[in-house]
Amino acid sequence: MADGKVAVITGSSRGIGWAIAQELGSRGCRVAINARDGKQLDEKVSELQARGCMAMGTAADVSRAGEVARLAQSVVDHWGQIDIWINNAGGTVVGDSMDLDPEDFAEIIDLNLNGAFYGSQVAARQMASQGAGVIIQMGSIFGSVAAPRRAAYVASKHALVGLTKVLADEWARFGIRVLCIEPGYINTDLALPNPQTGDDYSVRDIEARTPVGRYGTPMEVAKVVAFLVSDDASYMTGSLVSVDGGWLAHGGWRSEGGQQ
Amino acid sequence: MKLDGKVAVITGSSMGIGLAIAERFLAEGARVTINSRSAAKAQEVARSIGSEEMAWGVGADVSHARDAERLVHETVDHFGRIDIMVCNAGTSFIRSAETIDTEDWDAVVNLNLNGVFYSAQAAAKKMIPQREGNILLIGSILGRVGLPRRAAYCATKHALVGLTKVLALDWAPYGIRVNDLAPGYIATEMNVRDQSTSDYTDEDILRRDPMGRYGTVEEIAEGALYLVSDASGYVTGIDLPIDGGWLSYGGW
Repeated sequence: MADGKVAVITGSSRGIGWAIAQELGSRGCRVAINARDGKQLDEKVSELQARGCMAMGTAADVSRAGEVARLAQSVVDHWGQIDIWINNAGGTVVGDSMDLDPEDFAEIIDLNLNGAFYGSQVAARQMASQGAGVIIQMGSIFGSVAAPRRAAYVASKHALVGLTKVLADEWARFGIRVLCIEPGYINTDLALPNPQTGDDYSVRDIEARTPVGRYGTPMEVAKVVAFLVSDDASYMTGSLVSVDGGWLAHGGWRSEGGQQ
Repeated sequence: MKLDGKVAVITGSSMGIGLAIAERFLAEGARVTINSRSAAKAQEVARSIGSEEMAWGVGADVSHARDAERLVHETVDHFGRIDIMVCNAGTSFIRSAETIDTEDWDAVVNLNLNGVFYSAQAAAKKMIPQREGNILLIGSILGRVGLPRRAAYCATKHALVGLTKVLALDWAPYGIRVNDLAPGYIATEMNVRDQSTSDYTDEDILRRDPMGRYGTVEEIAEGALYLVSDASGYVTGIDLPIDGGWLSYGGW
């Protein structure tokens, strides 16, 4: 159990981030949730509190260093410590690399990569003073492989792999562990086909390509995160942990799991 | 000659690995655009390595998308086409992660990652109508492994490995190959500058490197020539280490 540990999860009003907030909350963490937009946060905080979790919410756009610093400060002001920091906020832009607006590329890098660095840094400064902490980067299977039309997403997720290794190496001396989790296709808005953003696959394509034959659930990712941030994983740092139904293991064109 | 009639742009080519690649490509018959942030420096280096017909210099800071586009446009205006883009411009940055100023972080990401995308995209827009072209990203062994005090450098070099894969997939239908070359420790001006931070010494590198020496810029240029020439015609999306065995070593 994680009695009273303070966990900050960026981008946690829905999807995987929300599942992590619920799971860590149910295991006894005090949970700070975050979204760019404050509107949904109050409702989500109330929902956690109704289940007996200590929870707070801070709106902040993590692609801005100043707002990330403010997020961390709000948590320290409230609870006096930060033990767990999950860099979960992220986005994607799907489109032919030829036509991708350079500003759109830079915007995704700002959010997925720079935001994760800003978050790691402010978290580590607090954790170093405490002598312990765990930082999780929300990577992706696209931190290890690529798919067409996702230049910014794939580049940023690969970058998180490198960032994880450096920070794990550097901050081990402060008692801080840094890990990267690589979800495959999870049943969230981000990973479901969205014709408006030019998505180029169907749910069936994903099911057929995934060895276990289905999307993962946000809670299946959250459970692994809960393990990684717990003391049961005390010798793990700098690692990539995929939670992908076997996606990365498959080297062919269609997995058996998709064959009904 | 392996690059007869080809036109190549090499970003960040006024010194070090970029310059060696430019000289190697020239020797194989390519016409080259030398690039540096300073136009005067780029022009001076171009004059020193080749005739006016074969080499010229363009000042551009590729961390700005518009500069990257202008670099490509001016090359096409000058030489009539572009066949090879080597995204080489980049910088090291050595500092403990908890003390990195976020503005410095942004500057490294803008040059080492965003600048590479801008340059590659600008070049590809010209290569697509030609239905052929070659793009080479200069990564690093730190695109595969980490090293303390190099958060921005390692993150961006890992990002290039991912970017290489996507661009290779996106542009394969147009006959454009995209690869990444990952140098190990090479004797360059950057290495000398990095050592002035007192973070490591020659002895550290020579002891850790299985071959017991630094690589040379010429050895990297040979790898670059392979990846942009027809010798590697079926190769795309790879990350090729030229590292004296650095990445193979898993011991202490």
